[in-house]
Amino acid sequence: MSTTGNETLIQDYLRRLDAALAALPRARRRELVAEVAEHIQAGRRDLGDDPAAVRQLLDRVGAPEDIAAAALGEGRDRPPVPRLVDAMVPPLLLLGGLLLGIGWVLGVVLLWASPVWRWPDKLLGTLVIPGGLGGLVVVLGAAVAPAAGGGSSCIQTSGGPPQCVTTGSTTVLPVLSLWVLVILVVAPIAVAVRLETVRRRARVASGA
Amino acid sequence: MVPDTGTNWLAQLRRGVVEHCVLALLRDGERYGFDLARSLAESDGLLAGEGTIYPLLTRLRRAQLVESTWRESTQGPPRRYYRLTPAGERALLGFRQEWQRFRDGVDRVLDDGGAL
Repeated sequence: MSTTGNETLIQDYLRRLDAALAALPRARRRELVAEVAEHIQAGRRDLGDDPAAVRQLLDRVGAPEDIAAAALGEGRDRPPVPRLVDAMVPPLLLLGGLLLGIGWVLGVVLLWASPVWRWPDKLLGTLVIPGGLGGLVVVLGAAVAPAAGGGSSCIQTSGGPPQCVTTGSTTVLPVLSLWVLVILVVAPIAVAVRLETVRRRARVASGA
Repeated sequence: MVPDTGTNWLAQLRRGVVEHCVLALLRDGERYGFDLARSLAESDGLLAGEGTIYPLLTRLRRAQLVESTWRESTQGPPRRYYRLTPAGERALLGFRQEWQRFRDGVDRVLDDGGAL
């Protein structure tokens, strides 16, 4: 095998390391991958182009999972262990708004009390979109109400044709609300999926 | 929670002990990461892999037990050199005293079940 073959081995290793570090903040992750990459380069200076030697070098550097386990314990004694209630947070934020909003409020409280999510994710979970899919019901209700209350009313004038007046907005709302509806459906689902992904990573990282 | 599965205790033991081994390696002056990792790896079982030294050095730096400086290198890119802080020296001293007692205690229990 050639030098490019060895480069591929090393790049594969660094990619696996980067993936194993997914739960770390991005800057920290980049720094650690750079440190290990430099370590590998330093180790390579004493080696030839023998792929077996490069494999042995990567073995000595260690399994990406071991490096990730060491990194996830940084700064605190152990990574946060997700509790059972944390599993309820994404579904509550998504669907809790449908239960008079109470479920959603409970979801937000649990979200902020949990050690699993960092503050950007907590903000995201709270602000996009308050009420989860419950927001959809509110907007739909607001859109339907004027249509139901309004509609056409016609006045029959003597002799002439009936003059009809249409109340309630019928032209702007459908175009606007189509986009609003898409956002109202997609955004809460995307946020719930993101929170669930972070929770599962934390579960794997903590070994629970 | 899954109960400890054989090697988990080793990871936990390493975590507390290896940090102080790094402090000990820095006793006689500054060294860089690659060099520290190779020295530790010579003692079998201390590191899960040479790469695990970098998270460990970050932890020591954050705890202000070591500090680091970037220096130009004659071969390759600049290197980050680590050295003990006064707090690191105190931590090392404290560990040396406790470690002896701890090791003797464990040995005694392992050898004869703690019988005197």
